[in-house]
Amino acid sequence: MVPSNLSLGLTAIFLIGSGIWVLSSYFKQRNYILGYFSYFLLGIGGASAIWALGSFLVDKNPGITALSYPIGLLLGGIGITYFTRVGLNLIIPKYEKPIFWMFMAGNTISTLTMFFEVIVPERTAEGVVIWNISPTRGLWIVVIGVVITLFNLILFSLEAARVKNKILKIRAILIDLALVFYMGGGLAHNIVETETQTILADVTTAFGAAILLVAVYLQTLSRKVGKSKS
Amino acid sequence: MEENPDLKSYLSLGTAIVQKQAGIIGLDLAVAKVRKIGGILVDDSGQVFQLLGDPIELLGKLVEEYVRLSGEAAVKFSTQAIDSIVKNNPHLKLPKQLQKGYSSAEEFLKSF
Repeated sequence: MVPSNLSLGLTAIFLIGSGIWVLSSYFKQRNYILGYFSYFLLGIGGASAIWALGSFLVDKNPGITALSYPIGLLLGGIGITYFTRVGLNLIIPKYEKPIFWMFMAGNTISTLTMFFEVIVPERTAEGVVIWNISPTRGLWIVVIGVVITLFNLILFSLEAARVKNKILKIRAILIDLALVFYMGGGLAHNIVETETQTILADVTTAFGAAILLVAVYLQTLSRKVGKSKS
Repeated sequence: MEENPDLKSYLSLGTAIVQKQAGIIGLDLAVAKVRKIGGILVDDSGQVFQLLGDPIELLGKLVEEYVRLSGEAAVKFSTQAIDSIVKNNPHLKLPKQLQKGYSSAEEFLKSF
């Protein structure tokens, strides 16, 4: 399998796997905040799956690959907005609804404009997909993405800082770290120009998704380790 | 129109909320507030006997109406009022106002 397909595919599997796990907890507990967290994971997982599919089809149908870019961006943006909703519910539940809808509208409108911009993705001889986003557009997405990521990190960390339990503290730190790597790598795809930069962005994104997977399964893993020790 | 199989349970939820509020703000006011919302039929004793429309949406409006009158405490009292009905009918879908949230990140992080 070629590098871009592999890294994007793995990222999607990690995230969708985590999302399904959290969604099953949501169905048991029916707690809407848990539901939002699962939408976040499934949203960014779905985005990665669409990009993986686009990357897979780049040789056969670059038009579909080009279209997969804004579709993934829209889905990923919706996912991230649901993560914002988790933080808002924990910190300022009274204002979560208007802020959430403001973010959702901003994300949807700005992403929809992407459908009007034609991009021409290409695969290099080594199998790396370069998306060829225009520098202005790429920079704009990075700036918006960094602001949203920082907002989310601050929001989540403020509440997570009060966590006392050791395993849960590690889980919170891992979620924060995963967000840094996933968003850092993901956003970098909008500005990278060379093969090496793209591979680095791919690996960083996949690493972020892997950390998120560990964070989600951490409690189950620690229980299993605890049982096997006793 | 096909009847919602959980209608009876939703009627019980509505009655429990109204009667709980009646104990706090008085029966007349509690019933008057329900009647302001179109679609929830209630008798003078606070018994909800018909829901004309989506029960989840109507119960959400009911809680909102009480929140407008007595603030966020109305959510707490409504949640307490329906607790046993929800425990006996865990499959029931509830309006967001009556669903459980988390009060801390610790509680959230422990839940999955």
